[in-house]
Amino acid sequence: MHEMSLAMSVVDEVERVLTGFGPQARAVSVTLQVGGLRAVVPEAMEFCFEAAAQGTRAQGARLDIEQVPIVVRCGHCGHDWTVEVIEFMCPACEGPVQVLSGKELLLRSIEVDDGHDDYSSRTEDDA
Amino acid sequence: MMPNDRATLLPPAPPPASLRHHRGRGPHEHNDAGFSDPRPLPSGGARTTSVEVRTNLLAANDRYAEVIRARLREHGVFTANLMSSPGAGKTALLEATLARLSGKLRVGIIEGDIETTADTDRLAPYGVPVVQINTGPFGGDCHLAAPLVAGALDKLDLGALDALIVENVGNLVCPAEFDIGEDRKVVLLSVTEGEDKPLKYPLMFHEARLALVTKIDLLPYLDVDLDLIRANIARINPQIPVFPVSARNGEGLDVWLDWLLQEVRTKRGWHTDPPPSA
Repeated sequence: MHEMSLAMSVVDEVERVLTGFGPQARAVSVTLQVGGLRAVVPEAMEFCFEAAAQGTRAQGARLDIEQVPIVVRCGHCGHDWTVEVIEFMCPACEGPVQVLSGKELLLRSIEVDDGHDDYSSRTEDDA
Repeated sequence: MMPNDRATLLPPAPPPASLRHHRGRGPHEHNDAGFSDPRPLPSGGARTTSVEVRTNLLAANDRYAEVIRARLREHGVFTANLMSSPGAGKTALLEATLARLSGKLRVGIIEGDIETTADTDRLAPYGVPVVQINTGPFGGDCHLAAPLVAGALDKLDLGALDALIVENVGNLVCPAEFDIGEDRKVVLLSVTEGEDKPLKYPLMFHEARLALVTKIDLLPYLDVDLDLIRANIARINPQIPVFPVSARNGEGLDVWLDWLLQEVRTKRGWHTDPPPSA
């Protein structure tokens, strides 16, 4: 269940980023980029994120997960292809492959609500 | 992230998991337009901003792993991270290894388990330093993360070691994700687990630099095809050596021990054989 460790990293990072947005700011949504090799189960990740976010500024935020396909290149013949069934041997020459994408495990972006629900009071703060 | 942060983050009972597109409400009520529009809104709407972050979620772990790697490099300690599913024979391999390396190599062990000191107790007769990590108090992590291993290193006299072997928590998935500062990841697959496991758990076999097929003394009693195990490992990682071993009857252990000794020689810069006596 590495999802819990990852969810805690996400929440820590959200808290860190939100310190630059003032005390009222909350995360509205959080977007992750996860490579196909990472064995991250989206449902488990969402459940863990929900739990890890309790009592933090990420509480209640929506979690979006962008899946990144596994793309590899043969070290011998240079052939590139997207791996559907995981296998790391070149179908053309049986050479060893290099992974070009599919190992991503990134917090890509955070949608931040600055917490100023009154436009006039916010513009005063900004000024 | 530190594993012991968990106690403060987890509520006693997790909320229901029916939340795939759950959209949380903050302290204020918003209309939907207020969530997606980055520009200032008329009175009553909140402002939202999308922030590009692009943080590696394993960055905190990886920073600890680099500190561990530097410490091990400073002392010239070769480190192997043994990983497998539970019951594949990691501890039995360690017992057989320590029995044969006594007086030849100064080995330290870090034992990772969710609970119990059973493995440390099994290794006690071999008279080598063993540090037990239990992840249970840290939320029962199913893998060793670098901060825990860094803490365990403090309990070892690295200057008195040639090699460190870390027995990870039994699990074919998560340990592959977490760099613990090792030189080599070693995966064990027992013949009773079936030929398909490299294909089902590809990241583990992709990250490993050596595969040991264990319990080969059981082959006469099983319908398992050792050549197919080799072929499936090669489909995931064509470059790694595959050594069939039996800790029970000693078959194949010399090949594994030669590999280990060669890695230690390389790390310590030894050019002589045998290495200095322990």
